[in-house]
Amino acid sequence: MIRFIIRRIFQLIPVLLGISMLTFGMMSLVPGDPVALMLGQHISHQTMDSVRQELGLDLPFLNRYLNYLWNALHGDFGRSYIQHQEVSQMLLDKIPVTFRLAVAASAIAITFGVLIGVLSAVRQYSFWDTFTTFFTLIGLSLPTFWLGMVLQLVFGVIFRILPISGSGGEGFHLQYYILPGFALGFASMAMYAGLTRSSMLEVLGEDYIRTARAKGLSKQVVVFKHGMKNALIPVSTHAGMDFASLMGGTILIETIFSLPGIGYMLFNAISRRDYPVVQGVTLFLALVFVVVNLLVDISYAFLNPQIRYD
Amino acid sequence: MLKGKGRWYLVIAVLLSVTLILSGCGPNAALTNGDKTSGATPVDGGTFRFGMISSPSALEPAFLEEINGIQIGKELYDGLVKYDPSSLEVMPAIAEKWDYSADKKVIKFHIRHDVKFHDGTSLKAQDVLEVWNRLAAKDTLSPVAFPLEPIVGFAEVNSGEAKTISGLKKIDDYTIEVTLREKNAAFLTSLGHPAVSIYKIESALKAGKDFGTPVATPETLIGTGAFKFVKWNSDQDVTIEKFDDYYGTKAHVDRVVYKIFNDESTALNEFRAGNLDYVDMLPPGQRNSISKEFPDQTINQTTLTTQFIGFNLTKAPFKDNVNLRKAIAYALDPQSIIDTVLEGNSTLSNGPLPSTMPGYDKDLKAPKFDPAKAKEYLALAGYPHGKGLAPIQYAYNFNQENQKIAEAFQGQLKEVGIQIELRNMEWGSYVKAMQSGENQMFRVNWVADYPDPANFLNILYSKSQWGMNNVIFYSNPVVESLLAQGIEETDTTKRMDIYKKIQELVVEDQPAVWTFNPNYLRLLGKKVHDLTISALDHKDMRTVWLSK
Repeated sequence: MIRFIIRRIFQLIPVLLGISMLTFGMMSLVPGDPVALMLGQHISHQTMDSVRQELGLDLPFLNRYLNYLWNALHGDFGRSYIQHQEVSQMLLDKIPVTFRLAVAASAIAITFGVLIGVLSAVRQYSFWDTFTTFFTLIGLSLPTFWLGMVLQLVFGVIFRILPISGSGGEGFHLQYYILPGFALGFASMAMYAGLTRSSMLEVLGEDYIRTARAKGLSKQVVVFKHGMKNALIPVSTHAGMDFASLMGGTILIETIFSLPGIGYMLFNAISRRDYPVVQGVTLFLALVFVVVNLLVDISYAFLNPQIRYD
Repeated sequence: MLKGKGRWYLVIAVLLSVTLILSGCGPNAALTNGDKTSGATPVDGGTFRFGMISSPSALEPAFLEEINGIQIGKELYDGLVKYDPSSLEVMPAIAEKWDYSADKKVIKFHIRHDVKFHDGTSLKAQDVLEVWNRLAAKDTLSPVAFPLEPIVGFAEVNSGEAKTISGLKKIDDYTIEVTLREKNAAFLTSLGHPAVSIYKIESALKAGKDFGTPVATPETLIGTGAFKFVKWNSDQDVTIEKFDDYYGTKAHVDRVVYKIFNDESTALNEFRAGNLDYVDMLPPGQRNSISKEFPDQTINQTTLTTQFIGFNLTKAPFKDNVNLRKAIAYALDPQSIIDTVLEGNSTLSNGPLPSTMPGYDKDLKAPKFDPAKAKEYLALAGYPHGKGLAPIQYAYNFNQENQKIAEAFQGQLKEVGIQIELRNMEWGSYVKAMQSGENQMFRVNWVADYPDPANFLNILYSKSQWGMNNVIFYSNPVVESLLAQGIEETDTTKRMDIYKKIQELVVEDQPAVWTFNPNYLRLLGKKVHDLTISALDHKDMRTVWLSK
């Protein structure tokens, strides 16, 4: 197992190198002159050329990429063209917000999704089951931004019980993450409900469940102790990748709820063509994906003893 | 707050209305004023909650280029002069008075003795010199150092050949002398731009590259304005606080919190929930319904901005073909676009200057929508009914509104036989393409930096600006000579006459079709009083007050 983990960690290096080259290459291919964006139209062409030289933007692609990589390896992702702040500092400031949002969304999605899925499986073909199937369909189809705006209007404007936007300043303020967490996690919740339902139905048809019932165990014990434990294996392995997706999928929700996380930062950076920030955030998100992927792979072995890695 | 059954009906109504809204989704010399309570006695205290759309880029004066940075910066920093928010006339600020030499090339500024920085220290002439030298320096890379350009020695500092501007001298602790290369009637007005405001240079140097960024602290970001800096929570809010030792009229509100949004709808919802006193931008497509939802709480502000369609005069088919340019001018109907796409939030432009700019000529005879004349000029241009005229490319920076306007123009030109191909472009490429003369026909939006006609005419129509701001590559020797006269003429009446003549000549040459002067709709809380929004789009936090 340890050999497998070490090998997988080493495999991350070429993946990350590839991603960094791809994002750097794509940014270079994007039309437009970053210096013109930085300095505006009032500046002479001579000044623009000297800035281009100073930033190393006149160098060949490979030289620029190697410079970027060397600096990135030293934790230096450059400075924002627009806000003149260090990208690494900006990332450090914003990651906690996005992390909290992804945790809130995951918590809401898993808790309610699993609960709905279990109830639906236990009462198969009942009104509740039909309702949850319909709910799953709606949840997967609703546009996130629409849901976000409706939640703002209902809970922020009409009832005024939850904040509409922001993160409440420094520190962690749970109430600011409820609406965006719900909006972000809604589709996942529907997905977890569907996944749990099918997995639970499969498990409930197993021999050992019948045996448990034959032993006279209560329905709750059969469902929650024996059934759910096994039915949740596919759910738990899916949760890891879903968390990574939620981290990367926060752009819309953070923008609508003005939550100052990396999604909001990426949105601003893209709309202002702030290339160092776009590169930094993309690289970070890619890192999250590959690390979570690794953790999910490792967790398979722990959760399912039948799986072994050589 | 609503109670009972009504609440649930409202919830259902909201769900339905959001669906409907989403399905339909798709700035100077005079003022517009938010004076709601003429004659009422202002009340001191309170926090003004300002809904700002998109984050300021920087709070360092040398980088105050976009409107949100300028909005906050002008409250934190004062310059030698300022603008009267209502009339935009130049008024004393840090400099209490100034005198000109007989040849008008040397100006002596007398600095007030009671100006204090936010850290309690006094401002002296040396502070002005050091800040301006830093602004002009090559390494600063300021995109807005242009107000200092007319000073002797600026070019040497800006190119890195010298460290200090030779035309800038300290006479004593409270007097500075500025020597200009030539007489410049717009120089004093340009000094009202916040880029040339004064800040505490020692603390700025201590902060280094972090000066004016979101990690700034009240110990590093020190100005002399009516408000002092408290905190900038990146992408969230900027807080400023009333400065009690301000030399001028003190602000009424204790604090201003600029809450930052990326989405106008979110800001609107915060306003509806009572969490904002002011919203700076409203969602497009909803302006009419918002005016109805909040009657008497909106201001429609005309700003010093002109939008026009530029023709590349160095390239076919517009080079040496004024008749084709006039045909296009007659074929376009901007008023119909104002009425539909822009929801009435613009006024028709009749020439190079916006209607609120000093020197604006309301009698200017620019072509107005007349399809018959358009066809006539098209024939004179050598393309009867558009025959033989290859499709013309029309470039614009992409956003939903520009796209809709471009499509409308395309339809209008087709009516007279002119085919255009739309070329929507990313901002950086669009600017580069314009400056390099790559485009044939393109959208230009010019927002005033300071309220002087030179900021439009000498920049957009002078040959010295070819490939920079004169992206239409316009050149007319008579206009060029009048532009030089206009900038040097210190008699305001004579000067404005010169600018009127320039406008007539430019309109005659038709290097562009001037389409709109945009208006912006703003939303105010019921407790907000005496909020003045200048035609430069500056919202004055020094006069605003909140009723209890």
